[in-house]
Amino acid sequence: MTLLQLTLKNLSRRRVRTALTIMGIGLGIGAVVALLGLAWGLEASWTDAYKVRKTDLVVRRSGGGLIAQPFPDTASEQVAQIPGVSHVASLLTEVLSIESVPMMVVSGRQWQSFLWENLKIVSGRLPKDATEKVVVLGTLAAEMLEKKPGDKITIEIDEFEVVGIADGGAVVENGAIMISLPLLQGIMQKDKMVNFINVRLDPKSRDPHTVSQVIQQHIPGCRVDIADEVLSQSDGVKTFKAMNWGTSIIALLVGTFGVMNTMFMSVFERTREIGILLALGWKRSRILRMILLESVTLCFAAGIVGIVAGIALLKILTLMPWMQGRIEPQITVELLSLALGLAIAVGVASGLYPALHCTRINPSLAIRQV
Amino acid sequence: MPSPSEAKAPLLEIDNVRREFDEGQVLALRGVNLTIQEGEYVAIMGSSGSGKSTLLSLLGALDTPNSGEIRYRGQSLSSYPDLGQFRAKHLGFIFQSFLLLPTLTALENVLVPMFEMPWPRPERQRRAAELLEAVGMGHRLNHMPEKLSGGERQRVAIARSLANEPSILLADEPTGNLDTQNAAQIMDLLRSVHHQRKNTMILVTHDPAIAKTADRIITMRDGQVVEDTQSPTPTSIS
Ligand SMILES: Nc1ncnc2c1ncn2[C@@H]1O[C@H](COP(=O)(O)OP(=O)(O)O)[C@@H](O)[C@H]1O
Ligand SMILES: [Mg+2]
Repeated sequence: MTLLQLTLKNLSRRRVRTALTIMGIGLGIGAVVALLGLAWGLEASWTDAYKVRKTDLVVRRSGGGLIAQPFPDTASEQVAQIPGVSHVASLLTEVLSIESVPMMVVSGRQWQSFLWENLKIVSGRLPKDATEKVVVLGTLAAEMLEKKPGDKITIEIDEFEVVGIADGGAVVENGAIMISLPLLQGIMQKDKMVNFINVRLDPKSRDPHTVSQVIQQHIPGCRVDIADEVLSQSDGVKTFKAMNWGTSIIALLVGTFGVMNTMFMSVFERTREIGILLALGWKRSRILRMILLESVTLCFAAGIVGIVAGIALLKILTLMPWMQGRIEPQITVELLSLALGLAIAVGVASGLYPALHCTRINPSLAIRQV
Repeated sequence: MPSPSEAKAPLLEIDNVRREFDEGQVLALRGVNLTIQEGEYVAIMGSSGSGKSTLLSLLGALDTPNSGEIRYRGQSLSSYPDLGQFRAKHLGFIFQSFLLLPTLTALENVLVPMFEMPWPRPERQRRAAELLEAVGMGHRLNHMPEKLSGGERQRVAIARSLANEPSILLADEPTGNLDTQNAAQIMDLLRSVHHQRKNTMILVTHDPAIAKTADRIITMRDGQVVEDTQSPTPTSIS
């Protein structure tokens, strides 16, 4: 007989209470998995997008959230002049309600820039020139809008023809509508305005940090992010992550108090048994370990439940229309280890106080026969 | 701290021990003096509330006196850094209501005190089974306590009290929850355990018939020892 076997016997004594406690903290862990999976997925989706575009730097106006404020396109010519920059591509990105889809990324891309290069046409074709009144849909966008080449699509009040469906190689690209930059500027009445400049560096040139500093010096009011870090630097994403962490911590705290409550009930009920163990010579440290092991075992089981629940939730979210083409949740080994690590930490945190209480039990009072 | 007189020091010395409860409202022991020698079979007798259990708790290092001293082989219990370890090494307990752990089988209950013993797992198993065999419970190793009769439970508890090979067995009303026939069998069992293992037995009872099975009867009243007699011919109650 080992301490773990003893622990399992104790936990299985009150099956309903144990199951409910596991559900309580398990939901907290599930929330962590789902929310962090989303936040990490959001970052990874954009990192992927810049990777397939082979974009090294992203220039935008400083301030603003996920969708940046527009600025005059003349900046892109200035950026192109800077040593170490090999290509620039201007971009006007808007999030619009398109037909039945409430939020759709519309990506107005500088014609003949590298932003069209990563698009692999799966059916139809690319636009002929910058002024042809057509759009190309990412594969996911085409599914969501239920469009194929030849169909018409209305953006704001203008009608366009879908000429091609393209696989952009990343979920963010596939979820977007690609259109030539001047057309989108026309629709949005933002003539000669863009909100992002994608920059490719000369492979042999200086490192991205130096170039980004030079760009920042040359163009007042702009902000330059290294493509890998662009999203983690964004205030919108920082807020999103902070909110997700906040929600996770609240969920975990609620769960922690739930486990603590269960453990206290359990040890109060067993005061006499703990007195017996002490009378039989058990070290107080062994009692402490036994109670801690109980709460850690409880929370470990909840960690497994939470991981399963969190993954299930993410899978369901991925099927939601507003999620498609925007975020591909990240279910990584890091996330799952973090979830289990947090579960064990909750186990220790919630078991410590009840366990310390047990070590202060006076055996003669606990076993007194009245 | 070994004292110079250790070699001839008595097993237990109780020196003017007082124990109060509820901030002095209850005087459970009012200055008790006793000496118990190694290998004795002693009954502590007295009516309910006379302080027997309180005294047994102090002797069993489950509780500490408000004043006075208890010495084990000449060494004061108050000088032990860890009374749990002292209990684990030297003491075995038997209680009126058995106090078996309800989630554990008979065998597992006997294994519980062995957590503190340095024996490997197979040896623990063997010892526990042997002890249950010795108290006539060899056929009930894997029974849960609730499936056992009172007499059987007390046999398991006796096996458990012997698990750590204690030098002193402390029994508080061990037959208090048993009918006469089972009580007699348990008293015979305790007597034979004492005979075989030569450990010191301290038995608390309010029942003169049970007390008469001991070699020495200490009578308590109102928290004090009022009589202490050697019984020339201890009887069996069966
Ligand atoms: N933990 C306690 N708190 C308060 N009073 C106690 C406590 N333990 C014992 N007493 C009191 O001390 C006296 C002696 O009790 P006890 O030793 O249990 O007697 P006995 O075992 O001889 O029946 C009784 O009056 C009892 O009520
Ligand atoms: Mg009593």
